[in-house]
Formats: sequence, C-alpha cells, structure tokens
Amino acid sequence: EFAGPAVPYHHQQQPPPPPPPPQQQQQQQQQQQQHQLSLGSGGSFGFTQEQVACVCEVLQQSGSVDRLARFLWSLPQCDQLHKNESVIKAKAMELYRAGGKSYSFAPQNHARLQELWLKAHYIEAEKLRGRPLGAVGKPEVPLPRTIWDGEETSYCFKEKQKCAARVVHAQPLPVTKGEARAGRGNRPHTTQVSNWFKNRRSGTGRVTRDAGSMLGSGGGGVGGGLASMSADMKRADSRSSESGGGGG
Amino acid sequence: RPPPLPPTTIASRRPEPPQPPQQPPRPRPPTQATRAATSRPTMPATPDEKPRMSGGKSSSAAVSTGKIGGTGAAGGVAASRKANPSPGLGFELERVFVWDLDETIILFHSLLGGTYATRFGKSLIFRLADAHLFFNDLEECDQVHIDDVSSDDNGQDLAGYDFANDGFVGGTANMQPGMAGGMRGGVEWMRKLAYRYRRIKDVYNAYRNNVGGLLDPGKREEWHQVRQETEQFTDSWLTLALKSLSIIANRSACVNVLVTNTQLVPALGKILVFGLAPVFSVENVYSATKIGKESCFERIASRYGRKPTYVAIGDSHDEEAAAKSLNWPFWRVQNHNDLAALSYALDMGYL
Repeated sequence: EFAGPAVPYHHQQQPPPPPPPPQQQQQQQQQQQQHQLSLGSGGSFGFTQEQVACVCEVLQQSGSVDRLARFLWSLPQCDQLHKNESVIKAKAMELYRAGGKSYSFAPQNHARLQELWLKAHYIEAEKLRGRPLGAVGKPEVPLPRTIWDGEETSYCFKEKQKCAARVVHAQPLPVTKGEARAGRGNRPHTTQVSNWFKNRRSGTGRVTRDAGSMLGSGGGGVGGGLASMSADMKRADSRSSESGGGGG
Repeated sequence: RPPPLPPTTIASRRPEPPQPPQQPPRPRPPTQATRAATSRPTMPATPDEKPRMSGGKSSSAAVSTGKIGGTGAAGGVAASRKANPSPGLGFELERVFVWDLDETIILFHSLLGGTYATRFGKSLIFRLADAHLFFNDLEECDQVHIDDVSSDDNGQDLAGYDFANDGFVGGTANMQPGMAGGMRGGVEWMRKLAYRYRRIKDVYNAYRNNVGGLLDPGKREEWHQVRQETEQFTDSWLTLALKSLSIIANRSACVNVLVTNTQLVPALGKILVFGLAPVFSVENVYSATKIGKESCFERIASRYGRKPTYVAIGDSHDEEAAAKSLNWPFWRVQNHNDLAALSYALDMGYL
C-alpha cells in the first residue's frame, strides 16, 4: 500500500533522479474526499492539499531543496492542486533564491528544475500583472546558476536550439516534418519553432502578431495559460509531434 | 520484600511486583498555592475514576515502589547520586515531531464511548499511576515536565527509601520549620517531591518496554483485553499511529515529543498502558494542563533550538493555533487517512 523507495534520511547527497513522466490524471475522488488529490497510478499517494502544503513547509524550512523538488514532481497534476500550486511554486522559488545557492543540481535535472522555477516566476508575474501572460509576455529571466548551465536564452530559444533550427532552415523550404524534427527533443513547442522559421523567412526576426495569435490559438486563447503551455512542453518532451503543433 | 527495581534494559526478565496493597485514604498535601495554615480534611473525596485497590496490606507498605532497592537508572548507582536531568544532544537533530495525545494517538471519547476499553482502560491507567507513579501523592503537585523539580533533588541514593513514610504526605512546599512532623520546612518537602519524580522516571525507563512487568497477572489479562478492544473499536488506530511514531523513533536525527492536556503522571500512565513508551522518552513528555500548549511548544523550541525543523501533529485547534504562533507546520489528524498519509510521507522521506 505504501510502496515506494525507502529514502535514507541522511544520505541525500545527490539530487534525485528525474521523476517518471506524469501519469494520466484521474479525477475520481472529489465526491468522497474533500480536497483529496487524486491517486496516481504507479504508487503515488493521495495527499490532501493541506498535507501537501505542510510537507512543502517542512522541506522549505529545513532547506531540503532536492526533497522538495522530488516531492513536488511526485504529485499528480490536477485542477485542485493547481489552485494551490502557486503557493507551492512560489515557495519553491523562494527556496531556490534564498537557499539553493550553495547547491548545484546535476545537469540532467536542470531542464525540469528550470521549468519549475520559470513556472513559479511566471505565476508571480501574472499575479503582479493581474492577468495571464502570453508567450510573448513571458519575461526573460536569468535562471539561478544552481539549475542552469549559463547558456543564454533569447526569445525563448537557447542558442544551440537556434543552431539546430538554422541547420534545418538551410535546407530547401522545410516541410512540417522538418520543423517537427527541429522541435523534437527541444524545449520549445513545435509551434514556436514553426513561428521561428516563419519569422526567419520573412526576415523580421521578430515574433509577429500573426505568430502571436497562432501561438495563442494553439494554446487555447491568447495567453493560452500556463497550464496548457506547460502541458504542451511536456507533450513535446514525451512524444513526437508529427502534426506540427496545434497551430491550426 | 519486593524485588529490586530492574535496570533499564529490555532483555531482563524480572519477577513481578507484588499485588499493590490497599491504600487507606490519606490526607492530601495542600496545593502549593494554599497556605499551610488551614488543615485539609483527612478523608479526601475519591473521584470515580480513581478506584481504591482491594487487598488488605498495611499502609506502611502502601507504595510498593518505595521499598524497591536501587534506582534502576542506566549507569547504575553513580548516576543516581546526582539529579539526572534530560540528556544533552550529542548529535545534530533535524526534525522534532510534537504530538498531541488524546484523540490523535489514543482515541477515547470519539469512538470508544462506553465500551469495556473505556471503563477498564481508564481504571487501569489510574491504578497503575497510583501504584507506581505516586499519582495520589502528586495529584496536587502537578508538573509540566519530569525534570521540573530536579533542581531540588540532592541526588541521594533512593535504594531502600521509604516513600510511604517520609512525611511527604501532609506537607507542603510552604511549610515553616518546626511544623507538623518536625520537617525542616518547604525545602525538605520539595526534595521529597523531587525524589518522587526521579523515581517515576526510573520506573518509566525500567518498564517502558515491558509494561506487563508492572502489572500482576490478573491486571495483565485486563490490560491485554483493553488493548485488544481498543484496536478493534478504533479500526487499529493506535497501530497506524505507531507506524509513524516508530519511523521517527528509529531515526537518529528525529525525535518524538508529546504535549498533552492530561496531567503529567496520568499521561505517563496512559503512555505505558498503550505501549507508547518505546517511542517517547520520559524527558520528551510535557503536560500542558498548567501552562497551555503554546507555552509548552515554546519550551520545546528553546530546548532544541533553531536548527531542527518542528512539525506539530494534532486533531484540534489547540495544537494548530499553538503551532501557528511559532510558525511550525501542522499536520492535522482527524481520520485514518491522515495517519496513513503521515506514515507514507515519512516512509518516502518527504518529512
């Protein structure tokens, strides 16, 4: 019932291995348990929101950054959690800012931790702005060195991603599959890659209004919402997007 | 003569203590708040939950533990020569889990109601507390913590000390020299008070893993029945709580602390009867009856310092409010799932 790896309390020297891809969420227990998060498959347990917050508080106070990350990633994604997510993510961000400076995570964890960090930051920015951010509106923020290898990012693309894209661009007019190949395995969604090509071709080098609205509609409305954006990013991670993204 | 008090090792098997004799009603010492000028009635009212024992022994052997030689403290006689305050920390503590007792670990009222377990459980607790933990002597001298009067202790070897006839009963901290029994005043009385708390500590440590050894066979059977029925009626609540308590107790960098609204001596009785003594050191039990939970939490915080992270676990607003005042995370326990989630979180290393 409580299956799970036993983690020796003292010996958390290394960052945890990247968690398995998130399971399909199950929205079944809302009638039975108030605020009970859904049980994921694969051994994850249903904590209440209050319990999640308690664990986060404990790990934050004790400065256990890696445990906090591991705990957060173990939680299922669901609407009820999302409501409290900003609290949790904001705490995670605080923690990274305040306490994480002396500990550098292994590079294989950077991507996920960056995502977490950015999410938290965007939620804060949204709160300040009072409305959801669009893809364009997302601020370019320098990531903490503990979760970043220092590579510069501009317009949401890392330099090496742009190089990969340029290589594809050098081919005669890339078809959708080529764009998908460039996008696959990289952070940005293929829609973003497609827009990049469009901009490149049009010679503006800037995201146009068209591209913005395309991105928006791909995400389900202008500014798509963080959840769908991150969901998109996750899907780009885990499976190939032959369709060339949801731009249509 | 009763057998000597065994040392605090688990392995030792000891002959059972004799049947606790009947204790005739004794005058209770006045509370420390009242002056000694007025004499108390010699026949104290016996509340229902404190039945007198049957048996016809004389009052001189009333408190069997009084005649037991040795203190049983770890380290032998030398350790008993000085008052033994709580051990200092030789390692880095990371987590302090502060538990509530009633309705969090032990369910009495909410589920047990008028069952056998309730009736006989309470009776058993008070009988044990009376026979071995000086409950009668100390009811009016309640302390927050077992070491609170240790500064009045002179470390005298308590082997052979006659608790039943040392004149503690009928005295008070506020007595003047020359009063009843030729006692040398309040300091003397305080010292005897300290002896009692030291003896309680020794008994707790000696029997914490062998509570049956404190009970004679008849009571032992009753004890088993109480435990069994409690588990049955509460759907193994205590077992579930013990899962978490044991995980914590087995970690060298974590500790279980108890803060209860029960008086200290009966609380220790409850802990012993319900098999919680292995996971709570006697020095980690606090009674909030006199000072409230928040003050107890503050004491704990200043005792363990700023380094560890504190987690409060309880069922009521009492604990929650106290935890909040100190910015301690609070884990609410109101149903089996809450306990199960706690042990899962501990198992996974999230807490």
